[in-house]
Amino acid sequence: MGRYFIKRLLLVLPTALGVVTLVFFIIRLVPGDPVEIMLGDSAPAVDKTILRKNLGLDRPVAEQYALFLAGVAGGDLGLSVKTREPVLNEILSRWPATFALAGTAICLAGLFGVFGGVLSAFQRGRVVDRILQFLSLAGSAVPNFWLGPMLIIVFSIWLGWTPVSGMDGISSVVLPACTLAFGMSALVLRMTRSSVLEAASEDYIRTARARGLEEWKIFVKHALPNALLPVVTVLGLQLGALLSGAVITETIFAWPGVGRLLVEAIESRDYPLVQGCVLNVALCYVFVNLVFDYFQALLDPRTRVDK
Amino acid sequence: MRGRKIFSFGMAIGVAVIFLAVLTALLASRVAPHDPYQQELIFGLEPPSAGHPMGRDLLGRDVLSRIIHGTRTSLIVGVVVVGISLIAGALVGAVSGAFGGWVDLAVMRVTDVALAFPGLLLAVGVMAALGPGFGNLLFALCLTGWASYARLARGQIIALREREFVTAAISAGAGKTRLIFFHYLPNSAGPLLVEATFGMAGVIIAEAGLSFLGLGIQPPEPSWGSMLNEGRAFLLVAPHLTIFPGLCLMSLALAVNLVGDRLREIFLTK
Repeated sequence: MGRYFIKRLLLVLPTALGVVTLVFFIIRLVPGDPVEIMLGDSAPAVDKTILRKNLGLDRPVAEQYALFLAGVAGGDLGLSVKTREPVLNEILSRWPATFALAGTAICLAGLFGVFGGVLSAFQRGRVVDRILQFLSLAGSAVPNFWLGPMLIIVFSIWLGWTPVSGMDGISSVVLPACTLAFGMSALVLRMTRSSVLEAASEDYIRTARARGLEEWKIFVKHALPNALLPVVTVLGLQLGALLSGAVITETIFAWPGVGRLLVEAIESRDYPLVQGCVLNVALCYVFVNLVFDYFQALLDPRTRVDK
Repeated sequence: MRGRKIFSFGMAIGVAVIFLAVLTALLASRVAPHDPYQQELIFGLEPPSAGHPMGRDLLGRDVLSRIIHGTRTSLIVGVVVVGISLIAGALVGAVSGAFGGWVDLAVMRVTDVALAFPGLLLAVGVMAALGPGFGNLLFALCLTGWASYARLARGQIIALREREFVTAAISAGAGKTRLIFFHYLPNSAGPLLVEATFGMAGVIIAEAGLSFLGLGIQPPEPSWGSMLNEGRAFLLVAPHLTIFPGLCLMSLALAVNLVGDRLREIFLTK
């Protein structure tokens, strides 16, 4: 398995290099002079010259690219224009909040999605199944930038159960995590339902029925454990949607994570910080996918990609 | 038999809502009860009433009229982005699958890079650099969207390469270009159409998401996402600013998903 991991890692490295390259060129898409845009027209010429030098924009593009690659490899993403702090430090200080939010959302999505999926499979063809199936389809159509404010109106403003925004204790994570988890739990529900139904048609389930086991026990004790692997895969694949969804969710709830930092950086036209945030989240996604892929291969050797 | 199966209840609802949305978008100027740009500041944040069924926004503009005009924005962005992404992605994937070798390797590595950015992230980064605007929005969403179609088309074509009708066409002297346009792409149309339908719902939500972040369509142009952004500051005093644009967005995305779900059953379930 160690060799398999190294093989997958080597396959991921060109993608990671491509991500770094694309992120490098994002700042070059800025129409006009990025320094003018960041500092404004009225800034003194000397400040503009210093910033241009600090960002390396006074050098040829090839040299800028080489320096950027070397910086990324050495963990140096430059300085934030706004705070003058190293970009990497700014981002690292925000990751714990994003991890806390994303972790809670994954747990909630897994819990509700699996429970709903088993219930839906158990009640196949009945009213409960139809309602859950419709909800799961609707779940993928509910944007988190609408669901979040709706939850705030009901639970924070009308009922007063949770804070409107900010990160202050366990109650403050409930609404953002539910917002982030909603669409994902809909997908987990659909996947769990179809996997459980597939597992339920296997011979060992027929044997369990022949032994006279109760139907719910057959679903929960026999079909579910065998149906969980694709569900874990979906959870892993959905991590990307979660990280990207965090940009909007953190903005709505003023949650001090990397997503909020990215939006703040965009608002203040702090391009090195924008670049750093996009790069960090994308690389995190690439490597988390690698880890999920590895664990999947560990759990089920049939899923190994050997080519 | 198959013709009868196409129209399920969900599909019928989905088609009806999409038809209504298209009609609304086409006749927006005639259907809208008020001018979507007309400001009446003294009536700002007025709740729903008989004259203004969805209320008014901060500047006293009619929310219903702005939603009706916003339908046009959502549909145009959805159709244009999915159209361009589908054509570009299918062609890239077809070339990759048909030629194989180093072409396939190079194209797939580029596709991997585009798919390595989760969800809206690449579009957010590009919009942050380019600045808001309709053209920039289309560019950013196309840049993000083409890769999944390329991956799908390539997979379909690799599966088709060994089929008998392809071998027969090659024996008859068909070149790569002919194979791509007359055999591979027509036989991959079903799965690509299903992907495009779900992609449409995704693009409509993505446009609204970018506009919500202030990166997409800019005020005073009506867009459901920017309306939701404007309503965010008035959740307590004017929840109607958030509720109605969101419901419209959700209904349209759900309708497209219902159609996509049925198309998937028709094309992908044996």
